[in-house]
Amino acid sequence: MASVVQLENVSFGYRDHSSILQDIDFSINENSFVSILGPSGCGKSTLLNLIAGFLPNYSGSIQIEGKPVKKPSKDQGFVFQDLALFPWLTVFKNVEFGLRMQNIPKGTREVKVRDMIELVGLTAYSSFPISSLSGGMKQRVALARTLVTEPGLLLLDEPFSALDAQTRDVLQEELLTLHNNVKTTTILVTHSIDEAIYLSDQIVLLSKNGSVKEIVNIDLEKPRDRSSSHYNEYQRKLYEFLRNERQSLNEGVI
Amino acid sequence: MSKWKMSWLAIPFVLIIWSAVSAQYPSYLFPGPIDVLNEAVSQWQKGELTNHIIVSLKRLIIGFVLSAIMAFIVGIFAGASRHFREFLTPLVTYFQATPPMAWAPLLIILLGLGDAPMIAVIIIASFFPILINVIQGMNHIPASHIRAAQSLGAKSWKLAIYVYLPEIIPAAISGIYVGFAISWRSLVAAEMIGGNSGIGYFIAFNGQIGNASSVLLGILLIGFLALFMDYLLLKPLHKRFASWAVRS
Repeated sequence: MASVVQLENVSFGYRDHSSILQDIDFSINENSFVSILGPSGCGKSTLLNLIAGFLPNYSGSIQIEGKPVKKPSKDQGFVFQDLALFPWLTVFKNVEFGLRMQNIPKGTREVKVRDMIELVGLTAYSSFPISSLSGGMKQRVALARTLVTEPGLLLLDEPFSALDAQTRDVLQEELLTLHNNVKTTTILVTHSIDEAIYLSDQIVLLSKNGSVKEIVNIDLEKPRDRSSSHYNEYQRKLYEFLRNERQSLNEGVI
Repeated sequence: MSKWKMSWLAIPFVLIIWSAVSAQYPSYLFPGPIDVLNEAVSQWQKGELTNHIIVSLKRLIIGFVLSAIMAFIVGIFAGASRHFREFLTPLVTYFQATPPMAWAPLLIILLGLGDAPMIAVIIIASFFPILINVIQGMNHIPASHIRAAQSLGAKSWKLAIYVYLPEIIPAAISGIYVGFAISWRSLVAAEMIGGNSGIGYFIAFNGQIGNASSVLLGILLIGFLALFMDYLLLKPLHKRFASWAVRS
């Protein structure tokens, strides 16, 4: 399978910090679902922002479909932790935003938006203002707004972290179904071990110093049985990883 | 039938007090509501007052629209550039502390007695309150909104029109409310000291010739016109562009 995203020797640091990410090397295959997991502050979100093109001053090389990443573009769809929905627009207009910016003719635009809103189950809420929706519904709008533009790559920055456990489970299922349908290559940043195992084909483990510790392939059929022994093995392994990282972090502080 | 509101009592209350107090004085000193109403009818028939009202409203609208456009443009640049903002800060503080009215004599010397100095007073009065609010609005745009728009394909002017502008409008409208109140009051005051037309001039002139009914009529009109502009322009503006900010 062709790799869509390729990172080689990627390092990054803000001016006032020494270094956040160091020598990141990995590639992501087309249509696959990859999670980035690591302890708090290890730079997972920063890494996703680099891939999205929001932080152009990195060293090394990030390529998407062979092209170097320099700035944000419609090819890298991004779902933000705070969702970043536009509160002055309705559900329909939020989902329509990207197509409008890309000058898609009105007729085509409306059909695509309607279909996408239907796919995320919000048809009845099309004309509602964003403020009247629940957390889970807002999440669906954010996902729909990004997916409707058919980005080659879908980047999700802890999108479910603000939701209650039940809604999160439902949305994880939905995301999996969506991914099966549209097959967009997806990178998810998460701090949840369960979420990473349940959804991903591969998990990139970032250690606390901002380098790749290991890349774990999850060889389990989807949809996955959370109570299976294989699933639990993966869980144990990742839990161990995070615990060790936390311990060495504490030692570093003391 | 709609629900009973205490606000329905407010104007009758004032009218009753006014009638009671004015009854203690001869009507050429302190006219009552009926005297002022009679004066309004006779002024309406003469047509002169209508012209003064039109002149004042025309000045207000021209000055205010010019001021709002300039404040939006300067505010967006100031919001985007820290250096420009630093440059503007002392100027804003200085002009905010100066009553716009104080400029009127100089502006009349410079620009004559017509519309120009009055429009200038309105601009001085309303530009800074709107500007400050536009800058504040710019500073409060969440970075993720800009990034989201960029990753959805919004660039340069589209980003400005479809994201920056709607983001700053609620704050800007607060500035417009404040600016409107200050500029209307300043306009009337400026017309009183150095105009030859407008509602302020009407009050000042009638004061000098001792026509108390006309003076009171003018004062009442200032308030009514402000209410009228509020309902006709400001409230619909707020409803159309800023109601989302209240909801979210």
